[in-house]
Amino acid sequence: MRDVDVSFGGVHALQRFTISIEKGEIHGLIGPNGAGKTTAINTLCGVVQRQGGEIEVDGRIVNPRPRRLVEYGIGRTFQKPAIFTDLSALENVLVGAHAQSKAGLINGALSTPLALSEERDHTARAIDLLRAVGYDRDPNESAKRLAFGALRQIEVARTLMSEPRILLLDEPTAGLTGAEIARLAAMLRAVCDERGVTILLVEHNVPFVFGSCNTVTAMHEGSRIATGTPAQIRVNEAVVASYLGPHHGERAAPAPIEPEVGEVTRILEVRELTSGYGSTTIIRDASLHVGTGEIVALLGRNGAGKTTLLNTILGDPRPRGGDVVWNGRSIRGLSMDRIVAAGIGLVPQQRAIIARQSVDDNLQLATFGIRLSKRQYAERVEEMMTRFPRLAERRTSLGGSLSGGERQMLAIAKVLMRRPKLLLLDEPSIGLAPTIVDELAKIVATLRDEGLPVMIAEQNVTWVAPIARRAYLIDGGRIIEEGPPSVLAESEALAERYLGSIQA
Amino acid sequence: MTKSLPRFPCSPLVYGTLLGLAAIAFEFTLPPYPRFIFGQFAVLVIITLGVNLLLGVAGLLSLASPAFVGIGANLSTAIMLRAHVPILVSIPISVIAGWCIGWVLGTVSLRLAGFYLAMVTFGFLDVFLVILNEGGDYTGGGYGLIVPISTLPIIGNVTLDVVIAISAFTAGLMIVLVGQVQRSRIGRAWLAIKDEPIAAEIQGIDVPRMKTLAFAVSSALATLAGTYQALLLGVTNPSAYSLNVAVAHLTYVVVGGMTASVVGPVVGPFILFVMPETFRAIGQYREVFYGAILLLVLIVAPNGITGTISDLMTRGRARLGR
Amino acid sequence: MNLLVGGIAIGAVYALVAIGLTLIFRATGVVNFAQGEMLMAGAYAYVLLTQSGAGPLVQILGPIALGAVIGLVFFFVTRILLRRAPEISIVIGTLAISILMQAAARLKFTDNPMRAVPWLFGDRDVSLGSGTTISINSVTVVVVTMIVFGALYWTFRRTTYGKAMRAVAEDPVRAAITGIPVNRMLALSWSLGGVVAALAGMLLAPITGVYPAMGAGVLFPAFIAAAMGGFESVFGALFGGIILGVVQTYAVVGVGGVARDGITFALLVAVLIWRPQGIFSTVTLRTH
Repeated sequence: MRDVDVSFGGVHALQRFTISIEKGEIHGLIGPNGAGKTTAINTLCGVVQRQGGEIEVDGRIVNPRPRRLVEYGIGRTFQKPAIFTDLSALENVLVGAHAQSKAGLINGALSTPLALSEERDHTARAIDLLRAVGYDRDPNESAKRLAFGALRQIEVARTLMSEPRILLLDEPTAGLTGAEIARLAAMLRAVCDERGVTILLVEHNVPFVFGSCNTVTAMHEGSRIATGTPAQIRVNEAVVASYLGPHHGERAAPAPIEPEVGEVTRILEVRELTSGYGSTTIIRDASLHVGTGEIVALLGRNGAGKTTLLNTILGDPRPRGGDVVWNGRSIRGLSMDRIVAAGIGLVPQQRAIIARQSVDDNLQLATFGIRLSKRQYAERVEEMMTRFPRLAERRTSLGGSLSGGERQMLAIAKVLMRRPKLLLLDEPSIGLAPTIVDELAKIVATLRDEGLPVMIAEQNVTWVAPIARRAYLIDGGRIIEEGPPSVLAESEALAERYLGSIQA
Repeated sequence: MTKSLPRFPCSPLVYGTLLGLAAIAFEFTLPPYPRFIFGQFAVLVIITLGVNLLLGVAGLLSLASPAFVGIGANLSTAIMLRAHVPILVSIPISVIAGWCIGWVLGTVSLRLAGFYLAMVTFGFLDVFLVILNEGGDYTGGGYGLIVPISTLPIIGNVTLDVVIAISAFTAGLMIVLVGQVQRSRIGRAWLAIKDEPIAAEIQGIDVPRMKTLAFAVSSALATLAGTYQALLLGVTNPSAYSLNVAVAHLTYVVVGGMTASVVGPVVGPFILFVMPETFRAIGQYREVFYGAILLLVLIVAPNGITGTISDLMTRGRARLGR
Repeated sequence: MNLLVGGIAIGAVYALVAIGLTLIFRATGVVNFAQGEMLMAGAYAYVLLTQSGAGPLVQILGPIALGAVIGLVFFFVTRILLRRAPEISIVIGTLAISILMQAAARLKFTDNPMRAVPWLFGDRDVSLGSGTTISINSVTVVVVTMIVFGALYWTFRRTTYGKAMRAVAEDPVRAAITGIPVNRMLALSWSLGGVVAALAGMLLAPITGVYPAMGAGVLFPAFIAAAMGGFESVFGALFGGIILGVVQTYAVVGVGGVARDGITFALLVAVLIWRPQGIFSTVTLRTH
């Protein structure tokens, strides 16, 4: 019996995506970064336009618009809880009943019996729901100062107020602590069983999905690659490959000979670093170090905190605890441009290139504020062109018109133009074809050979393992393991972190 | 501050009436000139309730409030002059007209936000001024109209004292009623739209309808205030509806606090209108005073007086709660 | 013919103010309600300098310098002082400053307009043969506007600072990561906006005289012109301003003063509803 049957084609991020959800089940949607999971939910909500394909709910073809979702019995939460901060917790939940109320302006102004009775009923139901989702604070507390976990709970309660038949959850575990995640799993189970709500959740936290869902669909590059029970998906080769990179488990190609390095001086040390955004703590007591002439890998699944860690090193967000030591001096609390000036270069995940200006312009801007003679500048540009032949062909093209691989090259080139003393790469292989990733690996290895230490944050273990000397495994904001990458890559621990243990 | 409907033992109308009567009683104790000031203050409170509803609760920035005050003043006066009807007729007609025009303005501005919205409403004000100035006999051209004496049943001639009493009473009543609406499901919906419009839509709130409703209510309030203002001053004054006045209205709201509290719309005009009136020396520096206060409040206490108090209370409660 | 040129001249002034609005908005995300008052300040500076007998170079550079400084002050207020305020408050903030500036000017100079001498060539009319004459001043205005537009175009396309400002305007976060000092670029953008406004003031002064409310009268049409460029395209602002100036001038003559504001308003509503991203912009609408 089908509850939701969806197939779209041709949305930019989705290609003939098909998913079928049974009534009364908890269905998980997983996939690596950029697979299109959030786009799928957005399309289901009508927030994103779709081209082609259809959506069926209970056998009826529907065309969802955000405004009509409540009518169709669909409720949705957001990655970052969309809480109305001007209202209290209770009032937030009451908004969920808005569509069910009849009391209008006059009724409200005059507190008519109709308005009063509706308020009474809804308030009772709202308090009930708050309790059911585990909210244990004062319902009248303003939502402005609540912690992330509480906001999450309120959002779910609010969505449930409209009595949806289908609940769409977008990354519900994002920002939650381990204990909160466990509570979330129990709550979802209860909601599903006791209230008969069908749930579709999109998640990066795969172990959670395996632990709480009846059925799992895995996505990759905009399409579905597999559907089945958690056990089936866990061992599905295509799925594993999509997360860890191809050939996981096979012997990696023999590592290029690493130059003999003598005493390695640590140039970057991160000591018990704690940081986060707003009311959330993401990095907890993380410690690591990078030395001269090393390539160090920072491995972890999506949402583990890799990006936050790199960003904290660069200065935004500021560390809340612990220290970052660069060449013996603490750089904690310095502004980003000071840290950049000190010689740390970050190539961020979103590839900070200026789309509306040409490659040449991008490189020129990259040296903003650095005094270079014409000759020096020309030399550096030449160097980049030699390193990245693809860019040489596209010098006058606008940044926005470059392919994914070319953008990555440009992003790296931009940072290299400033001759950094440490290079941080945040998930450089995302969205790149395997051949380009190979090129990338060679380039990074060359940089290391020339004396530039590099730290690579990556989900995809396989391409980093051969070239890195050491690796750290990060999960839930903590550094869990450290060791030679080949060992780490083979270890069950890694696969477990990513996909959960088989017995789960 | 809870915003679900509090349990009144009796209807808000009763409370509103009581507050209104209290206001009348209070102004009766004042000597003539302060009483006049109080009357103007009451008018401003009604206007500010409307602007606060639009900006502070629904999050819509409009510069058209003086236009509606002007519509109220001119329409009611014109009707009285031309059709020889008493205020019991001219005022409700004007208010209904204000509501409808406000609704239309709201519909026109639906897809706009922030400064685009401000500019369109400013354009509306501009057009209104032009109509006013070129309206010839209907609007008194650039000079305004003289408001005729009207009568009310029982009370007889509508003297200045009567007008002040009516204004005071209405202000009291509106404080309660507007407060009620802002605490009701409609008010919650407005606040939701202000904070997270997409989530509000997904929760089933009819966003366009709510926005136009906010515009309509706010405009109706301003229009009502306008009819009173005309009666209070005895003339309609075209130069009283300028961008500066719109900024003054915004200043009342910002200083009072852009929240769903009804205290703000009372505090704002009190600080910015009543107090300077008592220090007449300000006189020609009034505009500088407004601009400077507005800027100062934005910098130092961006949430206004009630907003800052509520922030402090929340923080205080949090600290105590630990 | 004189009418047409006059219309284009007024349009050029609108365009200049619109260009300033666009520059500032694109770079900082703030719509500067006080752009008209910046214009007014420049105009007063110009008039005072000419009356005090300062040399022609000072007459022109003085207001420009003032414009730059005023721009910096605005940068300071909106970026530093109002950092904590919600976005709507920043808009109200510029409104507040505009009121302040107008009121201060009124106090100091009263509402009486001051006469200003047009740049360089004075107040003459030039005959073009067959009985048509055009005012030299109008031509000056148009020429200066074109030069300013060209200079801005060159700056943004060719100089590093210009490119850096564009980068910050496109995405401040990405710009910061690549090492561009965002605050400095924002300050620069505000300064530039101030300079452009001051120039507009100098050009407008001979046409309308100098009085405190002169900026306010120009702001609304300038806003429409900027909107036609989607607050994005400087060319769109230029084009929109000139078109608006011409349309308005002919409307006033043809239909009467009432029509002018009505048409302007109708145009504004039309642009904002029908093509909110501007007629010339290729960018998808910013959700603001």
